[in-house]
Amino acid sequence: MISIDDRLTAFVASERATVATEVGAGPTGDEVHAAHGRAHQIQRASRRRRAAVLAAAVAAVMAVGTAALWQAQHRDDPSSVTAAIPTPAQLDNPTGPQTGPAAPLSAFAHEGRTGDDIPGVMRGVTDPIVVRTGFSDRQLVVSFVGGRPRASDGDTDPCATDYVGTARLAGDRFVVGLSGVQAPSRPKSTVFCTAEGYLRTAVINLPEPLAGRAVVTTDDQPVEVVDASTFLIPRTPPTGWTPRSESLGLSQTGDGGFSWVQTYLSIDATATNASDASSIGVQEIETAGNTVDVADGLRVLAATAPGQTLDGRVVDNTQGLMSPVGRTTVRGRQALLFDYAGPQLHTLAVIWQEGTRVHAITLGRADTSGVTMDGLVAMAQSMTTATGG
Amino acid sequence: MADEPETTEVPTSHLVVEGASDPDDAALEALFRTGYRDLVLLARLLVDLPEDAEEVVQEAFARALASWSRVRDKQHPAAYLRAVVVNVSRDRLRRRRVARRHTTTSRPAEDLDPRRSPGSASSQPSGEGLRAGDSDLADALHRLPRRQRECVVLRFADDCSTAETASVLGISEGSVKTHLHRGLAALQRLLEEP
Repeated sequence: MISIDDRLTAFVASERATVATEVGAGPTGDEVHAAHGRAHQIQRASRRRRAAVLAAAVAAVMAVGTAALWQAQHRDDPSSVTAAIPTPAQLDNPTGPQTGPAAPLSAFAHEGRTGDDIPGVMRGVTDPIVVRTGFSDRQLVVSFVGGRPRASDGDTDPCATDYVGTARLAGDRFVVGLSGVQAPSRPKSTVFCTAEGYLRTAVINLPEPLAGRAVVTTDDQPVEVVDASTFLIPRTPPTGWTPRSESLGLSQTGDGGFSWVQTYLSIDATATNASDASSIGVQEIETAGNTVDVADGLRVLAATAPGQTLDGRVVDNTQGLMSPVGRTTVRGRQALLFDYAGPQLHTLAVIWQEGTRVHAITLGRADTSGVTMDGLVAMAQSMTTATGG
Repeated sequence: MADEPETTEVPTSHLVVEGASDPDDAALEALFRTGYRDLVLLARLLVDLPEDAEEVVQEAFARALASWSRVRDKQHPAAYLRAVVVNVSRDRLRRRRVARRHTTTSRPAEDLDPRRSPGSASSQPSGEGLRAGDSDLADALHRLPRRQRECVVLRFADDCSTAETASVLGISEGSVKTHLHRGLAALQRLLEEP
């Protein structure tokens, strides 16, 4: 029996012969000329895009500040934060698949719906933004826009929902879904919920390791799973700081880029209002080689496109620019250090680049956080993949 | 769904820099001319419609030219161009999948394969006539998960080492080995299906 290697080799040879016949020796002069023209178009579009982004840029301080605002307002209710990132112990010992009815991941808008007319799931889930593998091969992490998180188990607000991931193996693929969990004693009266959307994260435990198998939703839509095996996570966050939420978004230009953001909070923080809150954001941005180059002499700023939201709240569009105040070495690469004292927020940041990925660790409320630049650098230097890479 | 971020507001932060360096694309153009056929072969095996391959390579060359001035490590233009071809192929597949989803949402999932004739449950790829040989293998190759397909294609079509494949795909060498192993096993399994 012919081996798969031999069959592939023969197939490639056959395809190579076809290509040689079809394209001849190579591109014509006209094709090269056309490619140069297209390259200039791309450059012009890139410049316009960059100018637009710069014009509407929000400094990292504002993004972090907004996160801090949101988190400070929910500080007393741990369950109201988007699903917490699993601890290493949880990752090493997954609890197996959740049971219960699964809603399609792609569902419906819930504006104007009552809680009673949708059996099983009370609140809609818009299409998941993205699904990544967990740090264990038996987990998927789904980011999506859903309803307001329940503040606690006793929360009777019929518009607040928690989500439970479900998974089952069907043949050679996994079928995954999300179930909404609401207050058991919610009012029977007709309730209209606003269309307020919150960025949510749910962890789905798989009954078996993913092992490269396909994933579909309960309504049979294929799910593209982002491989998180190369994502960097800090091994030693500052003492008393723990991961609280994460999000993953894909580039809207379809160039293969993505942005993965973890947020850390101090567990012993006693702040009761936003102005006292601190948070650390850990960002990993796959640029697909198009938009970012962290190097000496370049002015770096963090930006969010206008109108985009952070956990349901619109980010302020005022901006601040940061220039590096120093350099150090992180994971063998030069890292730029930023120290920006804005009118409302004092921010520290460490930014470096590995291949096409840019990593940034940003601390808001540096004055009250108890974390120094050295602590932030140490956190950066402890970053590794789940496999220690 | 993951490729439809335009349908939801994602709180994505981007780092933006300002700066430029002198363009120097002669090496890239020379490579484009001499390595054209290899790149077309690579694209042909990555996209679902082989007739798209030349367009993919030309788009990749244009994109590479556009960003070449910002590439700091210019010692390996071949690897850079190869990586752009992989990215453009990926974009092409993703966009087609989104378009397909919007136009054929009522059709069963098995009919959504771009290589199948519209409305037909047959497994005959629509581009079969353009494949020189083993259409079963071509079909199986495109049923692999993206990463596995990319690893298999880079290894067999481009003769990339594990390290080179890891560099092109931006993943670890361990991941490349895993994807390659799983990809070959899955291919074997798919080809053995009745």
